[in-house]
This record gives sequence, structure tokens and C-alpha cells, in this order.
Amino acid sequence: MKIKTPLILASCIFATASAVFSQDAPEPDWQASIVTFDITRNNFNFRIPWDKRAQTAAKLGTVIEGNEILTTAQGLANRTLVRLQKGGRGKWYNGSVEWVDYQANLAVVAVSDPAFWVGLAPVRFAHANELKRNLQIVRWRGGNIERRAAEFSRFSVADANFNQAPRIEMKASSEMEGAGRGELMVSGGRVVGLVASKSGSTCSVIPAPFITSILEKRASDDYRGLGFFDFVWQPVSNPATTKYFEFSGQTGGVLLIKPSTRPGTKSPLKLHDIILEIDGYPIDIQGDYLDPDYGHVIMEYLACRKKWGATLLNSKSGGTVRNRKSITFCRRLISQKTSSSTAPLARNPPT
Amino acid sequence: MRILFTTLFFAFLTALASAADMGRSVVQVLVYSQTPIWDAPWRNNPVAGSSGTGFVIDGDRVMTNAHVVSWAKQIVLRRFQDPRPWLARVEYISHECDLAVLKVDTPGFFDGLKPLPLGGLPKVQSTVVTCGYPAGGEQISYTRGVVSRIEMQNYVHIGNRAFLSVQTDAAINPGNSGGPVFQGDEVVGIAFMGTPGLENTGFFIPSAVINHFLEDVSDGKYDGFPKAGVRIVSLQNPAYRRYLGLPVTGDGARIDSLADYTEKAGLLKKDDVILAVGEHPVGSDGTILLEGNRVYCTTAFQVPQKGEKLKLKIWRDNKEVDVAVPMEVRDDDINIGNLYDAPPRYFVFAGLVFTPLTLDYVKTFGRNWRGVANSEMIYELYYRRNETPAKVRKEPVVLATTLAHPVNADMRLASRAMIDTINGKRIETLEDVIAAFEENTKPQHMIQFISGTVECLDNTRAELANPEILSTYGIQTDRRL
Repeated sequence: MKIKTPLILASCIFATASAVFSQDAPEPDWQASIVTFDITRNNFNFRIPWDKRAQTAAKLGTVIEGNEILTTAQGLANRTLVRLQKGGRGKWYNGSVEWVDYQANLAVVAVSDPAFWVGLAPVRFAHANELKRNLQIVRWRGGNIERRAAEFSRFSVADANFNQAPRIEMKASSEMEGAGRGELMVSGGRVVGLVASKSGSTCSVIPAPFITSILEKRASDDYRGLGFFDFVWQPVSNPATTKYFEFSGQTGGVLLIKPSTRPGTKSPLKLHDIILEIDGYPIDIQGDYLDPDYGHVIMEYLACRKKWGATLLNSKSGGTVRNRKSITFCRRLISQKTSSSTAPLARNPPT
Repeated sequence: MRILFTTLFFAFLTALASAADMGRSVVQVLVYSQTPIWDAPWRNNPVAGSSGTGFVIDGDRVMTNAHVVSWAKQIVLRRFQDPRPWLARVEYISHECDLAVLKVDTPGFFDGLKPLPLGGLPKVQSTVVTCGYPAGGEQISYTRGVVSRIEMQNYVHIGNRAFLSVQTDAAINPGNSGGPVFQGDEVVGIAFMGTPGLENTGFFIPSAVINHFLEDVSDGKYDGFPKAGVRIVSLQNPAYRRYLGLPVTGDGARIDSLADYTEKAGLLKKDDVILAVGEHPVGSDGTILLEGNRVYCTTAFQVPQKGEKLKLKIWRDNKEVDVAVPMEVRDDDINIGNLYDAPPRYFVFAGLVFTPLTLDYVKTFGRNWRGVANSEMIYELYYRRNETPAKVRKEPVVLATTLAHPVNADMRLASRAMIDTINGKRIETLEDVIAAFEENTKPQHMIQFISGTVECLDNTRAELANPEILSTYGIQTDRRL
């Protein structure tokens, strides 16, 4: 057997190059960016509302720009003491929750002791096109950094924790035990998201683009909570239904079956309007749209996608919108006559 | 003490001997019955055999439980120690109080059989003997027990009505149903139900309920038990009693809410305090004293026959008022009880099976039907009548199921959904469904559900598909009204 040296050499060079260029940035020292939380909170008895019991919870957070710690909002309600530990061992530092939004399931914590920040470094968040490959979950466990592989599954839109505001979730499978307490999901040198919960082997992850857009809004003091559509719609996959409502020439659209579910709200939408597009995104007959970051997801997410409770103003026929930023825009098609109107966007103010 | 035991022993022997003698008038009831399938209403379950007990009463008739002969295809009676079968038929039946009267047309059946006399309400702790043909053997069986308590109980056969009931520790097993409960030489009740999971807990229907039924049918037709249409609650809160101008420790129970028809009649009002029903003073806990037993006052509400008046003494506006309430039979809650004998109504169109919303239908969802049925269904079935009576539909209709066919293959919502409108017509009854489809001349039919969801069908294709769907699924006719 002849050994083809040039071929092997070329293969080695190619493999090395692939390994180098497949990562956008060098792997950071996650020990310098992940912290442990110890939270003491009151657990109220809602049947005997004056009765409460102290409860402690452990979770994880990550250092972000501006000497702040980002974590999930879970476990922070009714808190009485928030303590943080860096390096997986040693001294505990008192922290204060600077900002929390239970619907978005995110919180920012500050530590006033300058000694805490020594040796800590902020993480970098991944972009939308970096969310699916080479995933790992990283956390402190027993004083050491634990890493387990994860595999991307899909993006989905779920109801927020305490109301119907939609939020995007990334589903990924991993065998890491007991995950779902704010662990970092990373890819290369960037943070892909925070692990919010785990059921079986499936982790629900708050994706990085969702986090960064909220943090940016918060930084500019412009974050007013997640929005949600206050109307109810149904898919229109039945050809007889499209014929009945005379929009069979359209390739998509969903049927509005309850204009507003909020009392006292005057909605510009009418019963049996066909919603063809929102914010310029065409809606298909299942009620999905093609999100540039997350692929096909349900249209409910358009109520909060980079909007965060923007005030919506009227639009005139033809689609002039007056709001400076994101606007929910629905074209109404009745009897094959197109008109335009805006839909209201309810706000969920952050806590 | 020895004398007492001896006396009790002889009393027991006498009771058994008397019951054994009267046992000759107790018959076995053998029934073949067939129940409908409520979510496929054109079909029936297989014919099933069961047995119960009956006894001879005045007028050459046999008394038994309604649940023994419900949905019967054939009823056969067997006399005491007589191998011959005797065909019987239902003459009168009351599903609400679980009683039925049977007739035997073949001459000779009643020869030598004495009608058993009805007695009164037995005392608590007194001895009774049940008699019948329970499972476990072929011959007549007697068991002795004492009356444990007497109170209103929900009658499980109908499911949504409560009547006076007597609890005993005498064994009441499957097959005992319809059998007499003796005390001395009289029948003091009819064995009819037990409680799953509890031991030595059987119930019998007391003679007051039996007599009401027999008096009702004495004119040749069964009317039923009238209702006053009030909900009565205890009035023991001292502050509330003072608010109504009543002494803190006195009698009287409060009317908490009224049915729509009672409110419209205007004779009774919310916060009326019922001081007496007929001759019975009503305690602040809502009970009356009936032959030494404290029972809920609605027992006395069930005494009048249809059209008779119920005399009430009411406390209203700080004074006593006598009110005579005409008692009428109401069927407004019939669909939240178990239905019998009339097969389910339905209409099949383009494979869509429409049927009235009934408890029997939602029970097809399984034992956990309360968790499976959607909120619109539960609201329409149980709450609409009380909360928004003006919007009550006479017969709410549900899309029970959809028989798969290309004409309906694109429908997303295809079963277990409440119908609001069809082609713009509000659906009040099953007949409205038929009319809405038949009168529509547009190219599509539009079905709107109470949830707001809309589904459409192509009109022409639906008409063409109907015969094929009926043939494919073996449905004899597209409707039963």
C-alpha cells in the first residue's frame, strides 16, 4: 500500500483550518463570566395570606457589560436576600435586583462591592445566525465548571410566565442533569442563551437576540414590556372558508374571530377581517410568518418582536404609519376590497 | 337484659317469617335492554341482559325500579318458585324518582299473588328486611338490617334530582333493585342503590315518594314532580338575621336565588325567609321535622302534585306573609340529567353529526369528561340558565363528530364544538340546523361555533356527498327528530 503523503498533508491542513475558522472568537474563560446565586425569598401562603415561609433557591447568572449580572427572573419574586458567588467557591457578595421582567423572564442584578468584579469579564452574545451549531451548556457545579453538549431542536413561541404575552424560545436537547436555572448555553465564544427550564431532555432557552434587544431597550430606558395581540384569530386552511370570505386569490392570511378580548377596548379590526400581513411580514394560512432570525414561527410573536410595547397610532388607507418605530400593520380584505388599519398592541409593563 | 334480648330475638324471627310469607308476591325481573351511543346517535350498544326485582301492588301491577327496565327491549317476570316466564311491559315510569309500574297481559300471572300494602316512614334504628333476587344465586333472598338514617339523597338514576331516601345496613346488591323493603306486614320502601366504596350502605325509596308516583299516575299519565324553582340556604349568621329583621336564634331559611320562571312569577323573592312549608316549621338550617327525622325542607316541596299549590309562610319586609305557590313540572334541566327511553336526536349533513348538548353526550368523553369538555360546553350545560337566562337556547346543539369524507376533510374543528350560527341563523334547536342548511342558497355553508371559530362547506359538494356518506357509514336516515 502506497501512502499518499501530499493528500494526507492537505487533509490535515484543511481540518486544522476548519477548526480554526469555524469559531468566530477564541473560547473565553467561562469561569470569569458565570456566577452563582443564592436567593432567599418569602413563600406566601395564599390561603392564609399573612403566613409566609422563607425559601432559598440556587441559580446561575452571567456577567454582562456595565458591571451587571444577567439571570432569569425565576425565583426572584418576593426576594429578601440575593447573594452572589464568583469562581464557584469562596466569599458570597450581596446583590440587588436592578431590573426584572417576569414576562420576558430576565433580570439584571448589581453588586456594589468592587471586590466582586475583580477578575470577572462580560460575555458576548451570539447573533441570530450563530444559534444552532456547536452548542454547549455551561455552569458551576461543585466548585468546577461543568460543560455538556446540547443539540438544537427548533424555535417556538410560548406564552409568557404570567400572561399571554408571547416570547420566543429555543428548544435544545441535552443530558445535563437539573438544568433550567439560568445556565449559559454557549457556542464557541458566544452566549447563545439562558436555559430557563428543562423537561425530560429538552431545554427551553431564552435566545441571545431576544436578550440583547431587550437589554438594548433597557439601556436606552425605552423598554416597556412585551406586547400581545388582543384579538383572536384562526387559520384558514379550508378552501370553502376562503371562498366564503372571498379571498381565495390570496396565498395566505388568517381569519379574525374576536376583534378584542380586552374590555373597554375599541379595536380598528372587525370580526371576520382577514389578516394578510403584519409589520410587512406575510402571514400564511396556518398563522405563521417567516422570521429572519428564527424561521417559521407563529404570528403572535410579531406582537413583541422588537416592539416592546410601542404605542401604535392610526394609519390611513394605503398604510401610512405615524409611529416612529415598529408598528403592527394589518391589511383588511373584505369582499376583495383592500383597506388598511392598525391593530392595537397591548403592553405588559415590566415589574 | 336477658328479657330484652329474648324479645328482640323473637321480634326478628317474626319479622323474617312475615317477610318470607310476603315474599311470594316478590318477582324476579329479567330484562334485555339496549342503550344508544350518544356520540354516534344512529347506533346502539349491543343488547345486554340484566335482572332486578319487583313486587305485586294493587291493580294487578308490579312495582320495580325505573333503572331495572330502562331501555328495555324485553321484560320477563318470574314468580316465586315458578319456572314459567311471563312477559311484561312498562305501564308507567318515572326516571326522576327511579320507579316503574309493570303490567302483565298474560292471564294467570297474578293468580295467588297478594298485592303488598305500603306502610309509612320507618323509624331510625328500626329493623327492616330487604327481599329480592340479588346476584349470587337463583332463589329469593332476604337480608335484615336497621334503618341507619333518613335524609335527602341524590337519585343516581336521573343524576340531578334529590328525594327523600332511607339508608340501611341491610345488604342491597345488584339484582335487589326494585325489591320491597319490609317492616312487619308492610312495604316501607323499594331498594334502589348503594354507594360504591362504602360497606353496608344501601338505600331504599320511602313510601312517601312511591305514593306520590302512584297518585300521579292514577289519572292515566305520569306528570312528574313539580318544582318551586328556588335555592334555599341556611340562615344562621346572626348579622344576616338582624339585617332581615329576624331574631338571632329563631327559625327560617333564606331563599338565595330563584329560577328564571320563579322570578317572573313574582310570588317569591330573593331574601325571602321561609318560616314554614305546609305545616312544617323550617329551621334556620333549612330542615323540617318529619316524623322524628330532621330532613331538608325541600322534602315538603315534593308533596304537592302538578298544579297543586304549596303553602309557604314567608318573612318578607319585616312581616310574615302567606304565599300559595302553584307547583308546576319543569323540564328546563332535563339535559343535565341522565336521559332514558327516547333515543338521541341527531342530524347528519356532509358527514357532520349534530346532536343536542346533553349530559349523556358529554359523558362519552370518558370518566374525566369534566376535564375534557370545553368551557363553552360546560357553561352552556350548567351555568347559562342561571347567569344569562335571556340568552338560553332551547336546545343547544353540538357538532358531535365528523364522519371523514373529502367534502369535510379541510375542516379543522370537526368535533365536540358548540354551534352558534349556521349561515347566519342562530341555532336554538336541532330543527334550526336542518333549516339553516336547507334554506341556504349561497355557494358555501358557513358554520360559526360559540368559540368564534368559523368553518365552511361547499354547498353543492355537500349535497352530493350526503347519500354516499350515509351509505359508507351505515346510517339508515340522516335525522332522528
